[in-house]
Amino acid sequence: MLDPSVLNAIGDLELVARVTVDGTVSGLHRSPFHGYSAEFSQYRHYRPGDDLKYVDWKLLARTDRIYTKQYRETTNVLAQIAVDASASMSYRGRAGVSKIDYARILAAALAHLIAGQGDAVGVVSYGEGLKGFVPSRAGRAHLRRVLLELHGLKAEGGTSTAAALKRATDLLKRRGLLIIVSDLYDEDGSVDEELRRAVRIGHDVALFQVVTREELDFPFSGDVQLEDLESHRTVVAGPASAVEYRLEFEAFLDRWRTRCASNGIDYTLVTTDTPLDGALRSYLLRRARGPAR
Amino acid sequence: MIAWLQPAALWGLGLLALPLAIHLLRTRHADRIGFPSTQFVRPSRTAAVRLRPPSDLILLALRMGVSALAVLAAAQLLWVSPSRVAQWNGRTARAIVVDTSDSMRIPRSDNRSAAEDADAAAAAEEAAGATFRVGDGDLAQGMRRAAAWLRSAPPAQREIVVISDFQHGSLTTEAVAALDSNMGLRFIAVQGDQRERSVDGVPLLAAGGIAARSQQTRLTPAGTQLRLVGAGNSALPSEPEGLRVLGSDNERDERRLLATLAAAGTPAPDAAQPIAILFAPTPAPQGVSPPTLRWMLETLPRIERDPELARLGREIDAGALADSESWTVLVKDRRGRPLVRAAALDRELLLQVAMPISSYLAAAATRAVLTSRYGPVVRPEHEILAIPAETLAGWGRSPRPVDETAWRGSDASDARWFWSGALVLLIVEGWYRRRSIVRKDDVRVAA
Repeated sequence: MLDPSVLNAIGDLELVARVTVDGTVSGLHRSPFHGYSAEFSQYRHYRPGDDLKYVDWKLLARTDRIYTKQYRETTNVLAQIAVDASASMSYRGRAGVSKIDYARILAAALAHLIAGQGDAVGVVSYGEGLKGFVPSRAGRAHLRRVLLELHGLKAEGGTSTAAALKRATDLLKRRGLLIIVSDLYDEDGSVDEELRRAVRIGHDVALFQVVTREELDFPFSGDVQLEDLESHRTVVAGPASAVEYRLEFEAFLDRWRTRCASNGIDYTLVTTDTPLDGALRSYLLRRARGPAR
Repeated sequence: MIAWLQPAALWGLGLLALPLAIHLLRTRHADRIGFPSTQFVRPSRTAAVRLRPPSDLILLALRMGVSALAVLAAAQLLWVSPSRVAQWNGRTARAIVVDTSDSMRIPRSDNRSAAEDADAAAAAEEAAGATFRVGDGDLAQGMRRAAAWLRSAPPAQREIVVISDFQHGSLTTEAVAALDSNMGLRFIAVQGDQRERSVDGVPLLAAGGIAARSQQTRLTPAGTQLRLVGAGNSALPSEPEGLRVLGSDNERDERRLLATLAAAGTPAPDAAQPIAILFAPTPAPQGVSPPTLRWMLETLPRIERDPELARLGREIDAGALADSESWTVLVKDRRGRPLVRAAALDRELLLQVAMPISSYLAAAATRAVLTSRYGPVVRPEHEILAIPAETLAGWGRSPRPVDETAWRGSDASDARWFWSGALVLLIVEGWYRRRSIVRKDDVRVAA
């Protein structure tokens, strides 16, 4: 297991990404990402363990023999990773790693994984507006550019997720993979609309919601004055506030789960105190079983 | 049984309210912490008015514990257990009264004095344990001083040891009975000079056909004899040298007064210190001045304290005397008017009595004036007779065992245990406080 705080302490983001990915994909027998431009290559006799998805059922009906189809990928996945760099992402729980650091490593690992397959990957960072942009391209040199962009991320300012989503969607030239890493506090109808639009265009959308354990559990038992990191609004919370907060926050997470499920978006909730490779592995396994929609 | 050596310090328990107040007031200031989003936090509207429990009860308990233990330690708690009482009874606080009167310094025939023997005896007693040594020429007063020290001594059996030659009259039953009953009393007699001796007394007034005489005391181990011996000069003076009596034109009154005084064994006047007594209604001569310092220091206080004159003054009404700043009033009558007053006239001490020479007050006043010239009679210091050993044995007694009530004089308490406890709690409080600060910093850093 890779402790997020240990990973964060390693300055080399490329090394961190590689360590995370190497530990995650070992044991996975095939790529979790499916290219849209794969071409049929040949038939092969079925061997136990082969994915039934590639069995040619028509050939089986005609010949009464089981064959699996093999493809040759001609074009790669076009992936864009959108990372929320608003002030709320600067929160550091007792896990020792802030949400932005966790998101940075998660995005780097995903970029490394995608680039490792020869696919094109780019990154978009946003707050109130677009903060940084690296277009989707393949190659190790480009991966370093992506990692450099991630390395320079600073969590500050407000959030405008809808605008960033719109921009990231438009930047993908053709159908591709759109990965969003955010705490998703910017919850309004326009965000919902942009997500639906991305799916409608044909993008495969994955959403990682990054929260800390403190946001889930609200461990403040006494009177405490909470200051919103983005709006700087202060609220005095008492002992009774914790119960109501937990209920409200659970409902907030449920809304995102429901929203993603209804739109065919792959939703993953990650907390900063959970090992990164575990979270990544469960996501990849889920993808390997098939797309959400 | 629990006793407090400094019970006033228990008022300090009020300090317990201090940490309580600090912890109650501290909750008024809620910690300010950054949080990603407050949209799900319902404001606590009653936070400002709600009666809140003290913050950090463990820290509060530790601080109150430190305060309580410190106060209890300052109050000097003493646990009076049976073993402690037994420990008190196992020791003896001893005060040694050493007679330092003149008789102790008279060398004996062996060239040693009783004082040397007394010192040796006192040193032996002191070597036996903690003691307090009192040197006093008056044994009764020395015993009172010793008893006062013993009352303030730490709890123990108490004993007074008196070392003296115990001359007859140097100690009385009343002086012994005045001591605390729980104090033991032991007497160590040292031998004084037992040789026979004679002590000359005061010369007596010669008048009215009574020749000049003087007192002489003969002291032997068997007893004491007081004799009057003739001065050798049998001629009777018309008026005693050094004494003038003025108050009547009739000399017969003056002679009768002097004869009465001589018959009563009144001390003779001294020609070197002449005295004139002026009775009413004879007016005071011109040229009187305030009494000289020598008269003021020696003679006048004795006349003033004379019990017989004082008693007479309380009973009679004196005649009026003319006011004058030169006169010092010695005795007043029952109305507060001067009865006897003094002034100086050249070398003479002039005493004016506001009664006629024929009154009975005249003899009393004149006798008091003549007697006052002499200090305390020193004859007892030459006494050879001693208090019988049986009497001393009867006065002696063993110290009584002390009980639980003896804690009052204790100089040691169990406060050290409370100080130790307070120190331990203080260390725990410091460790716990640092731990709490680190935890709070974690939350702040997380923000």
